[in-house]
Amino acid sequence: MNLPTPLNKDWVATGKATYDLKCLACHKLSDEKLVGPGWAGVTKRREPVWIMNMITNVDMMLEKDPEAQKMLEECLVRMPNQNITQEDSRKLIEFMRSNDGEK
Amino acid sequence: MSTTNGEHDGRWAFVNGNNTPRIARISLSTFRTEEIIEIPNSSGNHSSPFLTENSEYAVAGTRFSYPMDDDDSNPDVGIDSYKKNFKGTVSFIGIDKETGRMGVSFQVMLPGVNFDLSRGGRGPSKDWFFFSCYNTEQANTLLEVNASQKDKDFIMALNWKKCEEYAKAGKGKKSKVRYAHNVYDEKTHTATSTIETETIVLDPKELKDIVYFMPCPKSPHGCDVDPTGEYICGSGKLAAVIPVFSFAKIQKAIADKSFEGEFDGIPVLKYDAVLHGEVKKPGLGPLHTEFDGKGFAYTSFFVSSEIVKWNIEKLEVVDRVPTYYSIGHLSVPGGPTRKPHGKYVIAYNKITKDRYLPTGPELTQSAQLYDISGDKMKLLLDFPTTGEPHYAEAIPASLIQSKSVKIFKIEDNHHPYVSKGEKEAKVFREGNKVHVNMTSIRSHFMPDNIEGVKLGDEVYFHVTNLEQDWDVPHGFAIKGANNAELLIMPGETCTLKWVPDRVGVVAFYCTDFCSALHQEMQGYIRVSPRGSNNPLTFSTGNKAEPTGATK
Repeated sequence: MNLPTPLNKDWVATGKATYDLKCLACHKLSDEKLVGPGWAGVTKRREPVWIMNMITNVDMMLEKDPEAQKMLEECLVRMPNQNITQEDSRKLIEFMRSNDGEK
Repeated sequence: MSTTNGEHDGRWAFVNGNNTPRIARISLSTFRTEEIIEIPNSSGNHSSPFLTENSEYAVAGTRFSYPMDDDDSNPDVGIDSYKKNFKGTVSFIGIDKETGRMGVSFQVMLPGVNFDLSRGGRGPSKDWFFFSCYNTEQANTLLEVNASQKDKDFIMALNWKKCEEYAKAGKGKKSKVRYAHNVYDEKTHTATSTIETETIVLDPKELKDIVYFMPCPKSPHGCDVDPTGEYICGSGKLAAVIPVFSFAKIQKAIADKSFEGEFDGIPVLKYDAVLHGEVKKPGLGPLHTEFDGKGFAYTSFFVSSEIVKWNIEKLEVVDRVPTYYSIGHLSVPGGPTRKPHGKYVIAYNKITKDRYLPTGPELTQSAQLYDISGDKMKLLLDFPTTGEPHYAEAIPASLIQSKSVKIFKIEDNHHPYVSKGEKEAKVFREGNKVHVNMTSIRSHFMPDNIEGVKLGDEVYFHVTNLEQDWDVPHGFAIKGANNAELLIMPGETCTLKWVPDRVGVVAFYCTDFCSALHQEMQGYIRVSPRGSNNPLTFSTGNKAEPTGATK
């Protein structure tokens, strides 16, 4: 997946709006776990494709992906499918990169 | 259920309320009641809500006639003046083609009898509606005996298309009434209630060609139209035959003025002139007939506890099966349409007796499912059910599946107190009203600690379910809300009013199992004494800072 810099500012803004509406209830922007893991450093820990699959196709990931299954064992709440399009999930990646200090 | 060209279209279901005469429209994409309209000039909405072929109208006939004077009020007269003062009505509730929105289009003022059941015509008879009438004796006491005197009562044939023309041409009288019309808006997740004040009433004594009576043995219940629209099957509860009327003959008899007389100013057609024929010795106590679209009819028999299959054209009984026990209504999927889906008939019984485990004086109702795809009916399943649904309908899931709503999109939620994300959750005061704009997601509320509410306050919990996944509702309940709690669908906002009546800390919690941590999904609200200075604060988790928020 192509991750150019500088970041697309519009995407960062849209990603943040999606975060506020659909993600913030469970994910902090620090490394602190709330319901799910904090987002700080997530773009360093995970491949962007993996993150986008978790966002858009969580049921398949929890069924098949060992890393996702490990997270479920830790959190014990299935990550909800929040009906986020692939396009919006890409913008969330942009917001996560910005949260991780990329410019 | 709604139809287009006489076939199920999977858009809406309609339900009647008898005691408070009204009709509800339910969306088959959300399975939610979208609209309820009260029926004016009615007492007991029984022959309802049957539909015309293209769902132009739902009908509502008054079961009980009662005194109606010229202002359509209910005047103070003696009960024994039934024959002189009591009247009945049938109402036509218009349904908007696109939105389904209902309105009372017109009503027809009729002689005082009881209107029981009904069916719309289809195909050749699509402009007509048929209603069964009993108590043509016009008795006002001990109807069990006094309304069973005559050998024949009536099925009423009504030309609704002509009524519609007359109503549009201003031939009706405007009647001053009051009735409620409640509409739910899916975008705001809230309802509005409007009081309407006028209807149009048509008088068949003046408009001679809209209503005719057909004699029908004896105290008829069902008057069911077959899929071709040519045959109308009467089911006299106390009759030993099933009379089948022919629509073509009805038209000829009207043209030939084949009347045997008048009933309270309405022409009565000659029985023999409109009769296709009688099914002889079919069983005891026929109630309701459904159809398979292959030329056969299926009639329920209450007294002899059976379903009888018979050939409509030849009027011959071809099969019968017992039911357990005393069947009332029955249902063939698509039976009341031009294209029955066939295959099954369901018997809904009035008496259970020994079918199931003992549960005190009252038992659950019993039902049976039969395969009707072959020549002989075959019992497939005997099962308990709730109530004995009258005129239940069944349709293939495929007609609904593609339109079924799985979530309400949170972006499209326009509820005035929506919280689009936890950041928008807040608590604010307007005088003695405290509004809590709250969110829920697996598995916590935001906020879940609320302080600063005082005795004398009214608290409004506006709970938004932030989930966007199918079948993940959250609930909300709080002690002291004595007659309600919330069940909030994904993406929806619902409001619960709570008036605390004592000081203390009260818990609230999710009532719909949502995750492994559902049991942890709870919060507290603190109610301080009247006049307390405790500031309004709210939070969830350790991060949230108290705010003395007011709007």
